[in-house]
Amino acid sequence: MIETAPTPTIDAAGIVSRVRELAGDACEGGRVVRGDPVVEISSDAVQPLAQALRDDDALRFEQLIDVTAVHWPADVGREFELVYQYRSLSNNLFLRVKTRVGDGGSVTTLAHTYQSGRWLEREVHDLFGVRFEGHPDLRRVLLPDGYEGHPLRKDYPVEGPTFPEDAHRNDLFGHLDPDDFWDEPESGASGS
Amino acid sequence: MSVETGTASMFGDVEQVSENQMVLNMGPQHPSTHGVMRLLIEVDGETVTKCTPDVGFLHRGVEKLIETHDYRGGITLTDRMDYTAGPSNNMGYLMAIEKLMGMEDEIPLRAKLIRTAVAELSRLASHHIWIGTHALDIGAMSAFLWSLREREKILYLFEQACGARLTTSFMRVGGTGPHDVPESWVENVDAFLDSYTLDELNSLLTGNEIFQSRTRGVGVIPAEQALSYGLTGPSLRGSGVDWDLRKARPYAAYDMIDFEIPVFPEGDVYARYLVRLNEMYQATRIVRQCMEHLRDLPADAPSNADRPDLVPPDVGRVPFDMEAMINHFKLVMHGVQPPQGEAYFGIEGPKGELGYYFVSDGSGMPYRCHVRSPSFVNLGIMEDAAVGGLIADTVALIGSIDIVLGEVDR
Repeated sequence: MIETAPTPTIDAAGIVSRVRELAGDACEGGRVVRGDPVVEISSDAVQPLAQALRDDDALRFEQLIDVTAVHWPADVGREFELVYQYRSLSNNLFLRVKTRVGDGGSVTTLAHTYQSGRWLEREVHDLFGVRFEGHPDLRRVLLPDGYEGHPLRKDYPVEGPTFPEDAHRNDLFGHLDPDDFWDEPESGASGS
Repeated sequence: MSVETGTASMFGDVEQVSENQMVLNMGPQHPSTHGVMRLLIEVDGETVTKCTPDVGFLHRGVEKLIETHDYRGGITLTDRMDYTAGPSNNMGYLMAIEKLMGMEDEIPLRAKLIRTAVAELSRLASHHIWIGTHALDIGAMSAFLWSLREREKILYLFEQACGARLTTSFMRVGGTGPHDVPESWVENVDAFLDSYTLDELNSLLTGNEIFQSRTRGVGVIPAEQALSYGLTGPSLRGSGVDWDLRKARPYAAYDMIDFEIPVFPEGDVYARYLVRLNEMYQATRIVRQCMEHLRDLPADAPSNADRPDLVPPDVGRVPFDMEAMINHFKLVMHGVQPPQGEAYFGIEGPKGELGYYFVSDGSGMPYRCHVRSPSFVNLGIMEDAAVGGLIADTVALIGSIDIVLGEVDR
């Protein structure tokens, strides 16, 4: 039974500056967003930085709690923003690391550094189509094998690719034309 | 000999790959997979040599759907993920939006207390499902029936609070929403706590020799492995890691409540059982304290933030008051519009860290909403933890990491 939780050893700005030191030239920016430290790095530094974050004594990020992506189709060449979220349980710290890859690009896997990367990266691969180099088991996880397309991309229609265009029409009468229910006025009727 | 596990099921339920090894297909309709999950188990005799979970049968694309709804519309999608603890999911979703808008400090105390109480009640309800089905998998039938009888009382409290039992869609951005809990709710919760007892379940299972022989030393997850696999919640605390977001990063009203976090170091199925059972005792303590604090509040204490741009006006005023009608119209048509940016917020759900990651482009609909579901991440450890055990131990292990397939597949 525990009574008290560890108090954070470094504040958010301190984490950002320490991670910037660890990332070195690969760091592309760092700031505190709504209380959370966020660091942007180049895509080839993802794995070395993860290793450093886990082993650094001041930080000790033991857990990779989340990997996800955001699709920005307008940024041609760097469409996918990969978001990694780390947590240190011994120091009670949180960190978000972001990187950009292009469509068809790839990034080194974290599955060998953090085992949680195995399933989390499979999910990103499944729903966004980002490849993770060196992943031991990079298959689709939520969608069936052989599924075409990546649903969380912005250009993927929410109804699915094979949804008929006119399906939103009010189709209460099925294939019947409502006009068939009305008799054509007889030619002499209006004159009488 | 390695097997192409992706195609094994095509050839029937059992496939022999060598003299001693077989591939066994468990699920997706197996009763102890707690939903539609398929496990491909490679066995050597009775011993599991490889376990590959196959999920996604319940994938509904919730993250994509949330992108097409306004922020309020997404609430109804969240409690369909972990349907055993709907209010807890609502709460995580709303608190992430509130963090995105930078208005965590504006939530009134009454709303915080009700949220905390409802979250703990949903933890109780979720653990009741878990304890019942887990014992049922191992062969104890009466625990299931007794457990669901207690859970029914909790669902009745949810129904009184918001009108729904499972898919509550309770609470809104900024507080409890236009419909606060009824006045008699506090008394009803107190009456429930007085009549509620866990000692029956405790005496039925904890000292039970058969239950212990099925769970002690089975499915051991060492602490380093649990950390590396990103385990959170009771599954992590059953491996001796004292981590709980309610203590580490207190949210809602947890900082004014006195409770303990049970931690057991053994890492086996029985330790995870003890963690959850003790958590249930703690949850009743938390709810009782919330009710005491609620009763101390003045009768006219607000339950929503004073933010007309977020909180709809009193429904009774809308047809008679021009300003209220305009306010209501604006909120229904345009919804809540957080500023551009991103936010992640995680709560300690019944199954682990339930996190929501939002990206806003300034419009009324989220640009991206990612759900960090504890069940999905916790399930990853099946690939490792089941290996070396018996097939029957796999059943106990699935029960002990407490997954809900609606949340795994989203």
